Amino acid sequence: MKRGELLGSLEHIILLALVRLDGSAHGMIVRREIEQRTGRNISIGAVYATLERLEAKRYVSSSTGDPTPERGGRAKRLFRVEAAGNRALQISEQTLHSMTADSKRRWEPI
Amino acid sequence: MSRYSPPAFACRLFQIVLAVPYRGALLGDLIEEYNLRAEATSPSAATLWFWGQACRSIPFIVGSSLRNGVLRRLLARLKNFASRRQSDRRLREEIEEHLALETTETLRSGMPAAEARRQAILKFGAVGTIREDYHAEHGLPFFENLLQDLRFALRMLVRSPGFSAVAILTIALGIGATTAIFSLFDATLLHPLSYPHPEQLVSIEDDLPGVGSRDAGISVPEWKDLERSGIFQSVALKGFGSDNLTGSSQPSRIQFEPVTPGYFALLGVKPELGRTFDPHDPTPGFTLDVVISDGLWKRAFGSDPHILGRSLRLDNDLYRVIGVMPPGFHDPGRTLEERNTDLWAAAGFSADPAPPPSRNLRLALGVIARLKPGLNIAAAQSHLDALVASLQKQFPDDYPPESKWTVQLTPLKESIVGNVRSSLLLLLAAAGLVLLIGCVNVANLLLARASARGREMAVRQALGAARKRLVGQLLTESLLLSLLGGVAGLAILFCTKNFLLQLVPESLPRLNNLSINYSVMLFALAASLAAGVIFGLAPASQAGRVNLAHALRLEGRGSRGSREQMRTRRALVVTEFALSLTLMMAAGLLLRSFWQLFTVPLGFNPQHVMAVHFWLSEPNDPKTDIYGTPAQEAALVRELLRRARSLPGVQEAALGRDASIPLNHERDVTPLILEGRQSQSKEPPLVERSNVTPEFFHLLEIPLLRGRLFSDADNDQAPLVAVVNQAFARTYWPGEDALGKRLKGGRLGLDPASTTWTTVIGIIADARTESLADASVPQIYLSMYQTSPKELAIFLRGKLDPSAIPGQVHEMVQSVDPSLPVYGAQTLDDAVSASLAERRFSLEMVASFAVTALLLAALGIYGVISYIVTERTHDIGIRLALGAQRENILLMILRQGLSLAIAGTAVGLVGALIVSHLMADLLYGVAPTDPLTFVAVTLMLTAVALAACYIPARRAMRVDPLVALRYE
Repeated sequence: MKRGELLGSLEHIILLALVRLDGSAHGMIVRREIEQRTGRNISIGAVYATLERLEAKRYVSSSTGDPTPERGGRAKRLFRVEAAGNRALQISEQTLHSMTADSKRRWEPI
Repeated sequence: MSRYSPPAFACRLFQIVLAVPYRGALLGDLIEEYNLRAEATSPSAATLWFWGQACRSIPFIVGSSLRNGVLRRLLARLKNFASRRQSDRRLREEIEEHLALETTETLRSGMPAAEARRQAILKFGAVGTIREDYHAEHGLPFFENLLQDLRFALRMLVRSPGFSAVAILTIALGIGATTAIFSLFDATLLHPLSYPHPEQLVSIEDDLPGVGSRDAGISVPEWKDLERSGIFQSVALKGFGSDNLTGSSQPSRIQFEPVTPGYFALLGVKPELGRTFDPHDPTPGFTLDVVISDGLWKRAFGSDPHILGRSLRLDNDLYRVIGVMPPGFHDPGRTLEERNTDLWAAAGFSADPAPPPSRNLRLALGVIARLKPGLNIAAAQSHLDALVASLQKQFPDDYPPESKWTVQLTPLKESIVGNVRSSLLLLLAAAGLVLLIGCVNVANLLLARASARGREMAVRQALGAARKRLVGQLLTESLLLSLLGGVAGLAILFCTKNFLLQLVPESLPRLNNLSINYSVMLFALAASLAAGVIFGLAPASQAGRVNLAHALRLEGRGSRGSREQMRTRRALVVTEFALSLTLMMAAGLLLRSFWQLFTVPLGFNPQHVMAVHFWLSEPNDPKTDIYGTPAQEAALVRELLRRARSLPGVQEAALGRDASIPLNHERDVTPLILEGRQSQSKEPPLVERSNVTPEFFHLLEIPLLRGRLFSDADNDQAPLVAVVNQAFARTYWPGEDALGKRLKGGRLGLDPASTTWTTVIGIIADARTESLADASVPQIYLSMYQTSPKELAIFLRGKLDPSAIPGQVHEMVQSVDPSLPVYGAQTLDDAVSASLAERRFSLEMVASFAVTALLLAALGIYGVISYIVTERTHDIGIRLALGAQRENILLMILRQGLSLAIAGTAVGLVGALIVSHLMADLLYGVAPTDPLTFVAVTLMLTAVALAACYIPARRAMRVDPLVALRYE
């Protein structure tokens, strides 16, 4: 993890969701969390694609759960944030903060 | 908890489209959420949501997988495939190291070396399988398997050369035949015309169905209307004629076309030398300019480099060459002669020698046009129909409603090749049938071999081969056979191409040269692949279903497992017979049609008769014509006849028009006005007419039924007379006596200025001088001495030498008038057989296909019965030992073969009936359900089947029971 690497916006949101969910969550839970909090309806494919990317960067790790009949016999894949991911989150937050801190712009509440 | 079922289709779609490792988890998430939602809201809402999620996810997943290296992995696989030997070696080394390590470990515990190694291997796992799995993961298993299968297939082919040769030859025959016909098809029908934007070119035809007249010609004002209509870019008229050409190396007869000046601009072809006509040339008659073909330039002018501006005479009229067309250029004509036109002259068709233009004066010209770009034919036709309707209202006198005048548009290509399509399709179907039969035969051969390889397949399966691999292997063998057969077929075709070309009748319009070009080769490849798949399916589908236990037992007796095979083989033979029967039926019907036409009573006697053409000049200015009046021409005719009778071997001589030559393709019609029936506005009917000297009828042996023939007294001073045939009398004076009736011809034949009536003085019997198939074509004959036609032919009967006569007639004519060219000598027998040429070609082709099919079917039944005998040798031995008579054995085997043949015949009869009805319009004089043909063909097929069974049946008869019983 280099100093200069920033998280993409979807990566950022999903990492934050995982942090909130505190522990292992699978893709659909993450998606639901984002939808409930932000109202954004993200497709499950986008979530998974991003999670794969994050895993490749070792910001998250995954483990396989048991297959259940409710899942059509497919295993559950659980994701959790790793230390590197936490660090990346912190860096991104600091960067954003430093960019918005001295701005005289007032944000209108949406 | 209730279970809902998520949309299965979407799940399957997902599984196929996504090849990513997290596919399972993702799908599981979706299903779980679906179940929750279905519980919470409704299954249909959940399904909707499922589909929405699925569709929206796909772009992300595809993108991520690409990024994550599906491509990278593919490239890695390719790289591994290239270096598979090394990687395999490395793997083996590594496995060996592991084994060695393990063995050493085990050795320490005191086991003997061999046992230690065996334990190590057992612990490691099946080495072979591990290697295969590794390769499946890291290489390209498809290609590796393919290579392996190919090598094995090649070895199998080489090992049994007899079998391979027979199979390859059979396929080669089938593919060769089909490809040959396809190349004919390709050259004739599949290629566009070689003019720019050929899809815009149409031919226009005026029909008057109300008076039974098709292609009645067009008048000059109509042509101008068409040009102004806005439907076409331009419209051109083209005529056809022959003239005497002088001013070149020697006087000759050439085909030329008078065309309107916009003709070449319409076609869009540029000349090789010089220029073509000015499309806006307003000259009403012929202009001075002509364009010649490359062939004429080389033949008659010796490729003269100063050809442009050189003058020549056509029928003594002076013209000037302004351009030469490129070598490959062919005129888009309907007949071979038109396509070989040597010279084009520009004319406005509004002045001499054409009559003054008027709307109801139709000229016998062809009309071609180029549509405006973007306008399709259907739309153009409807615009044209509207124009026709408005013209009919505008000029009611010229377009009487009874004639029902219509104008038809046809794509130009269609008008050139339309009539040959059906015969070519028939040939293609026949060739396809032969290929099919060949495939069935090879399938049979392969099945026979497959039963012998049953043990090999069983052993492979027992060792763990997947069924897919076995099927793949067998298909590879079949495809290899069929591809080799295809190559062999193409090679045969290539070598015999010239011989085959000679068989093709001249009337087939070859728009391009017959050649083995890319599309033909592609067709051969496709046909080979299709054939390979067809006959490969039979053994391949049997491969995986071998009963392992049975097949592995050491015996060769007809085991249960092969009973199904036997059924398939029988079914295949029955199919072969059915197909053969269909082909033979088609051939038989065509043969009978041909024979009917061939032996039809002609009504005249063509034997020992020759006809030689010579034409008089017809200069554009009638005043300079030295044979302009009947009296002038009569003098020439009489002198020619006198001299002709003194030629060696000549017993009789007569003169007639070119069109009087029976069964040539010239049609010469004249409009007819009957006394008492004329009405100003009615369109006169058109009738075949001829001008002949009185000796004509006797020479051709056409009998006179009533009245009298012409005599020398019927000259230009005497009243005009005519002789008609019975069909004419029946058509125009039904129930009355035609003798003494009077009529008038139109402008084209009888003297237009005269108001004299012509009287019918004689009725002759009907003769098939226009068409072999139709005996009752109305014909009218006029006396040569009362008219002055220009296109003449001398008829000679006697002991003639066909090679000497042309020269002798040439000399004779030139001694009377040196400017008259003589050409085109033919015997009437040749003319008759030439009219049958196209039918003969179809017949020959279909018959040879039928014979091939029959041979293949016979081979097929021979193979099956032979196999049955081999399988039942043991059985037969037992029967003989128990006291059966040898003749009974023979009969038993023959009965088996007969049952196959009968089954095949029954199925084939159905197919034959269908095919014969499809062919109905190609038949003459024989019904599609002709019982004679059906019975004959069935009997022949049965006889052939019995003959084919006889040899193995005899073998069965001679089985030695001791040997058979000993064979275990």
